[in-house]
Amino acid sequence: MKHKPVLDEQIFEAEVKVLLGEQIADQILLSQLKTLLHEKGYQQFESLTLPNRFRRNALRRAVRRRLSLMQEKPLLNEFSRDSWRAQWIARFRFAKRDVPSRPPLNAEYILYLFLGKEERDEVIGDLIESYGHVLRRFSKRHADIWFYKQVVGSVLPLFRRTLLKVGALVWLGRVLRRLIS
Amino acid sequence: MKKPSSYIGEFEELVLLAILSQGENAYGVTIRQALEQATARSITVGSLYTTLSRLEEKGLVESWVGEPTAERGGRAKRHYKVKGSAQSLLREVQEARQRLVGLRTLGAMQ
Repeated sequence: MKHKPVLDEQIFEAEVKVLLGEQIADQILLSQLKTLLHEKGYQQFESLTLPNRFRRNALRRAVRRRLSLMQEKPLLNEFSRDSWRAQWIARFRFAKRDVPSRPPLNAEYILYLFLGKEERDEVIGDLIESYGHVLRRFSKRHADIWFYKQVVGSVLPLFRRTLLKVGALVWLGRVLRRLIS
Repeated sequence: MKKPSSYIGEFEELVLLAILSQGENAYGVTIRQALEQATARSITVGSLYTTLSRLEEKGLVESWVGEPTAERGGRAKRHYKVKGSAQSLLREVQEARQRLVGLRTLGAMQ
């Protein structure tokens, strides 16, 4: 069998397929992928292993970057020759269309810690609305930075308010203790 | 001279004026935008909501929860309205400021 040259693009696609299949059945999908690639003549994929955590994150970023570049193209027609490639692109596009861009979850969680239950929805809702405006005007990265800036700036006043409430309770407790004794 | 019923800080006064300027559409995002436009400085959501909850505790504003929207990830808006007592308090603060400006002008003339 004649060996075909392995391009970075092909490695990328193969790894993305592994990445997408991870949630279903890692090892089964990996072996299927190896067989498929072997049939196509890509011998080098024999040594293909599951991408580690860092590689997975890098792949996710790469997929997002590529999809944002390809948004204007009729993807499914273009890649219809390669069904699994079309599949993962369609899957990502579907996910992208159905789930609106969300602000960073870590930042949102920080706010959760400092906000009271009764005001959580309003404050985070306001931030998500403004985040959407920034996202439309600039990019996801800029919007994320803006969101983090808002959260960092909000932590201090919210923490101070919590401290004041605790301080008031302590003061009240001392007054009551004096009155009782 | 009638004494103001409650003390309000500079930022609280600005927030009250921003709510008044937005009328029926006064909620977190619009209030913050109005404040940023008027003061040309960045306002964080945390500082705004801390002030709004303080104003509510003082009985100067009232709020109610609106309908959730998809734009906000299915979260509801909290609308704000300035109470009558706050409006008279704002008038008093502005009158006091006018009087002080008048006194300063008089002092400069002498």
